[in-house]
Amino acid sequence: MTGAGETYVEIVWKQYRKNRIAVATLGVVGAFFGIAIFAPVLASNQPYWFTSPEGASFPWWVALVNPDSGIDFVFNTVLIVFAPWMATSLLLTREARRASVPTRRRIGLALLLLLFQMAVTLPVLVVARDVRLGWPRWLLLGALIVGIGVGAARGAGRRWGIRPSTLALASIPLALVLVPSLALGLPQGKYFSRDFKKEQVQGKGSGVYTLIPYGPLEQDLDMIFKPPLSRKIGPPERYRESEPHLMGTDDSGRDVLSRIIYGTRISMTIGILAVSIYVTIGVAIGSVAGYFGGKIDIVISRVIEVVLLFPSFFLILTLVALIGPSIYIIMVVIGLTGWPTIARLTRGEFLKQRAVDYVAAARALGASNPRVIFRHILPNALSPAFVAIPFGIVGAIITEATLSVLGFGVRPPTPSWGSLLLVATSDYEKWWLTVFAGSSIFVTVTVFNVVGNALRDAMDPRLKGTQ
Amino acid sequence: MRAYIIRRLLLMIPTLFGVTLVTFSVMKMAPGDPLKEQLAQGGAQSESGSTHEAYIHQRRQWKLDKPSFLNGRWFHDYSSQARKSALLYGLADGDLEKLLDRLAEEVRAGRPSDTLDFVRSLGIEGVDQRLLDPEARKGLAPIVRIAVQIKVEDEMGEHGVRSLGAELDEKDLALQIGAIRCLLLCTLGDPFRYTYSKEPKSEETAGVVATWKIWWDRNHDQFKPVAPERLQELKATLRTLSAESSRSKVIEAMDGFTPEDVPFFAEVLFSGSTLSEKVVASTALFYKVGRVLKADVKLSDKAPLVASVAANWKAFIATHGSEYSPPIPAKCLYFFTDTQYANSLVKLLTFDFGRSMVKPYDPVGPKMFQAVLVSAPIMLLSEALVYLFAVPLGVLCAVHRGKWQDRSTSLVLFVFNSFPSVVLGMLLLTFFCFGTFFKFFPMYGIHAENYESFPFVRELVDYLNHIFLPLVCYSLTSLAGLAMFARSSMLDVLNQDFVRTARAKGLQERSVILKHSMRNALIPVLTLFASFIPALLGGSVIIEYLFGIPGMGRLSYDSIQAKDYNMVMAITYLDAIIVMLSILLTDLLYVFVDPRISFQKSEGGA
Repeated sequence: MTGAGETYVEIVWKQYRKNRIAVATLGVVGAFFGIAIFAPVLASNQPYWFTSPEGASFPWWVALVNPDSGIDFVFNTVLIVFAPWMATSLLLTREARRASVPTRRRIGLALLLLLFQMAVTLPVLVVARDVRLGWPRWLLLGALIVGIGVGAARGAGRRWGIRPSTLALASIPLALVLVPSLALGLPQGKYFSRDFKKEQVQGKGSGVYTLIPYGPLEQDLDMIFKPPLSRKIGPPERYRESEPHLMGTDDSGRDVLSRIIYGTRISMTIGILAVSIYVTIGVAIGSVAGYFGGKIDIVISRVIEVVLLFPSFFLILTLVALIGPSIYIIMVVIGLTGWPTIARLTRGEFLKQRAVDYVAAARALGASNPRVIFRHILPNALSPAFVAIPFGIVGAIITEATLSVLGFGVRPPTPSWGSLLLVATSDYEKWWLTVFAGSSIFVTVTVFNVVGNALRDAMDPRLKGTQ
Repeated sequence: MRAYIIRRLLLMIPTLFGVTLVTFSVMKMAPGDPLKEQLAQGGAQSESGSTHEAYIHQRRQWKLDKPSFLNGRWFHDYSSQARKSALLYGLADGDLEKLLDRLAEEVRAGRPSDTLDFVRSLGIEGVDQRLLDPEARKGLAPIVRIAVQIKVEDEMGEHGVRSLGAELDEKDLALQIGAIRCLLLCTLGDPFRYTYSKEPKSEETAGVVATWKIWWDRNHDQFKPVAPERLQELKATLRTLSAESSRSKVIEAMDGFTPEDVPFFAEVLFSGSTLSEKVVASTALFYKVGRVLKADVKLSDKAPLVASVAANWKAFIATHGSEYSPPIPAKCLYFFTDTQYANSLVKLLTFDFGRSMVKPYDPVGPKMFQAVLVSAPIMLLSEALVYLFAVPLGVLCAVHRGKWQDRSTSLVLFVFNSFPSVVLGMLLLTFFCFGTFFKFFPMYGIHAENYESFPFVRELVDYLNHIFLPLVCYSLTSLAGLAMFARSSMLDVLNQDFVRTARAKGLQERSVILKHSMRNALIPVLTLFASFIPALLGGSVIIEYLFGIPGMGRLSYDSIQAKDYNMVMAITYLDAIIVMLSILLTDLLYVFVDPRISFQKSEGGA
């Protein structure tokens, strides 16, 4: 299957690249993940930092480590820990490749960097509550950390021949995270009772805000159901509250754009978690059936056929209606009912691969059954599961939206695309809710469909053009 | 071929079993009791007592008081529980308070007796604290009584009748009173029925006959045999009356009988006569003898009365006791069959879906049929539309494979395919129904308000106007799949030799495509129709919800929301059957139209 030293992934990628639209769409998918992870950078009602006579504070960071929901917590952790690490290690890796540092060392370096950052950031983030820290101490701390970082980097650089300029560049993302998060580690005073936007208008201090200065949960009862581009008129009570609502507001005066941005997180979570549940189950069951064959295969195949006939949407609807709306239940039910298709495809693939010589060779070398399944056959039998991932994400996103419209979706203040649609069903004249939330769903579905089709064509060119 | 069909039909059994099991478990997992909620809504008007009785009756009728899956209660020994329940339920208020005082002492001393253990097992919140606190203890008596009542009604039910019957022999008056009251809770007073209900059923016979039998056994020596000539007369009257359908006529005729005629009617009731004769006989007995047996006692009743009521119960248990203590094989059978799940499974298997559990308790079957009558025409129209557009588009794409026609059509279809029906439906509603942009179509329902007065043509136009947007919504979202299927099917045909031969013969391209290729390509496309049958009957929940169509989708949504167990079970079950049959039908049609495919070789493949 693999000729001329190319791995399977490389072949697939080569095939995939032939489809230019699909490659461009991959960028859009990346943008979706970017929006999901960087949502607080785009929209938040907290200033990055706020200076008042009492000292400097970092409300945005505090909001980041004290999110409203578990999903936000996960994404914020990714934002705080992994995003800067990715930036740094990408820069360093490129440089290390130039300096021809061995791959194993490079990976080791990147992992070390991650460990270091987690060791510093995570404990701080967990205990952090509030901070009002004087400027001099803040600067001192920053300088100390940057100093340590530069020192360590110079040591590494001298050893592997990495240019100091690159090191300096690479330390910026780390420092950006580490400095304020360290500063957060000194909790003092009440934070949550403060409204920084109000304080700024009252002249008690000033801060720097995100591009969209509205949070997804921030209500404004004077601005209920305002159409796109409308702004608040009259003398402002809170800073930047006359900024236009680009996509209008909803039934509690919340900014729709901000909610759509944060809704990306819910959609991505549901899609990815549900699909990973059923891909895992499906691949496990399918590979056992396909590898062992015989009676096991007969039993599992019948079970697959039985579960395949389950009215899954009806089941989800019943469960969610009876147990109570929760995205975790939605995810688990989609996960538990979706696996048979994957299992069937994986089983077929295993039946095919089992007869190929390399499996006999592996067995002759004394490999155990699990080793043959996981190390030898599975990597070659994963393509149907991979193709199912984008389509599965699409299905999960649609299911979430549908359930929300039926009133069984996420609980009200949580921002999700489906809940925006639900608000729209109460009054269709508020067209901006339907149009913007609907088009977010539509664009996501289209993009993932394109990627899925392209992936299928790339993995199995014979299937090209069939639906 | 036959083996394949048999295999698929056999596969239906575990599937149906699994589907019903899962649906049932899901509904059992759900918090809340739909019956109770229903009655709570209607409870404001009626008295609380009768509401409760109705609730228990309904529960028993739907077997909701049984365990969900396995019933071990027939093996359980209820004697000590029966004794304790009878004790607590039979004590007058003052005595019960005294007993509670004693229990409080036990709690303080830390030496719990059986009675205290039983009270603790009743599930009253913070029972120990309440017992210890003298203020709270005063209010505890009624709570204990209600807890006992719930326990007896829900757990013991008919299983406890034998054990309670044994308590009737006790000397203690309170215990006797309690046992009688508990028996009444267990059986809902069913054993002591004097006459039939308004619409007589044969199930009622046992209760009626048993009641009169007990009375007759005690009192038959007070009556002389009926004179022969009177007997002839009575027989004739009975014959005419039993043919009479009007109940009031029967009651009017009661004036013609005397108390001396009672032995005749007792004979009719006890011997194997027809149901209508028994109805007349029991009515006559009731009018000439009266309410002869008492089944209930008050807490304050005196010993002689209690003894006579207890004698009634003892007589009943002596004659009918075997029903309440079945033999071992029957117990083993009941372990699996006397459960909620088995009950609903049997009903589903016999297609007896019962009544909806939501007011006004309509029968499930006709209600579903009504809903199907609404959804099916819309779905049928939309399928027709899909075929009308998808097949030509698919053929067009295949003929111009890779050219701009193919690419642009595929692109448009792809875009439509990416519209989830919820988004498309809401966009259509926003843009075409609510005047913000346009107001072309009505926003809700399938008829105008007064459509019945319209002439036929106008009614049809009105109907089409209402269902236009749902149709668009249904069709656009399923267009792409069929079109792509038609395209690949056409491509397969176009690559075959006979098409080349046709072209080589010099036939016109038009004729090659329309006559030779398309006919062959259409076969698999048309057989696919069978796979649309489930959607045809089931409708779509979200589209029917958005557009306010009272079809199957809407019905399933409503029944899920109202926790209408019977309806949900019936819908899931029928849905599964229809899906399986349609898959079978699709496969069979496929083989039927294309003899090259056979099931013998396809073993192992999907």
